[in-house]
Amino acid sequence: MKTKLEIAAELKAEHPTIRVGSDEVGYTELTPEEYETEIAKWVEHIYAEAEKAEKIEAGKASATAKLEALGLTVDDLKALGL
Amino acid sequence: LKWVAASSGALTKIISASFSAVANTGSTFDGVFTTAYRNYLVQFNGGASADNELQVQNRVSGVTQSATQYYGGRYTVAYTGANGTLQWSNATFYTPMRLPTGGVTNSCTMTFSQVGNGSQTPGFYSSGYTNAANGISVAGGITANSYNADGFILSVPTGTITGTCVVYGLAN
Repeated sequence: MKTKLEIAAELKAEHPTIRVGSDEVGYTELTPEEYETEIAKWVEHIYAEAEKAEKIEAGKASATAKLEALGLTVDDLKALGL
Repeated sequence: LKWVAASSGALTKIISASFSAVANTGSTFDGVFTTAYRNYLVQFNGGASADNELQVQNRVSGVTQSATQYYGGRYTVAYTGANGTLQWSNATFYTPMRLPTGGVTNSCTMTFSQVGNGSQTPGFYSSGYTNAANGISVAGGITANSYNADGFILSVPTGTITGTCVVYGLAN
C-alpha cells in the first residue's frame, strides 16, 4: 500500500492547482493554504479507502485458506446456497 | 426532426451551469431555492477524475452545511450484477451515486424539498445511472438540522468533477 506521502505526491503531480466554481459564476483557484488542506483531505480519503480494501482482501484470503483446509471451494458453498 | 417550442408549463428553469475540473461547484447554486417553489428538480450530467462518490451538501447564504447532520441511504445495482446498500447516519453530506472515472455522460436526477422557505429540515431524493460498471442508484435522506437552505454544492471526496447541472422549480 502506498504511503500518504506517495499519495500526496501523485495527487500534486496530477493536480498542480485546484479550482472551484463554474462557467456561470467563474472559477476560483485555491490559495496555497487551501490547496494543501484540500490535498490533505484527498490523501486521507484515498488512504482510508486503500486500508479498507486491504482489510477486505485479507479477510477473503483468510476465509479461502480455511475453506481449503476443510477441502472445500467457493463453488461448494454456492452449491449449498451460501 | 424538429422540436416544437414548448408552452410555459409547471417546470421552470432557474439555472443551467457548466463546470470543468473543479473540486466543487462553489457558489454556483447559491440562492436557487426560494419561496417561489416547494420542490426543486436538479439534473446533473457529469463525471469525475477518479472513481468517486458524488457528494451533495446544502448551502445557507453561501455557507456549506458541512456539520454532521445528513441521514439517509442508497441502493445500487451494479451492471456486474452485484447489489449494494450504503447507509449514512449523521454524515457530513449526501451520497447519491458513485461516479466512474472520466466521462461526462453519467446522470443523476435529484429532488430537493423543504428548502428555501424558512427553517426546515431539508430533504433529498435521487436516482441515477453511470456509463460504467458502477450501475444504477436510488438514494434519499434528510438532515437532522433545521435551517433555510437556499442552495447546494456538488463535490467529490478526491479529485475533480466536470459536467452540467440544471435546476428547475416545480410549480406548487
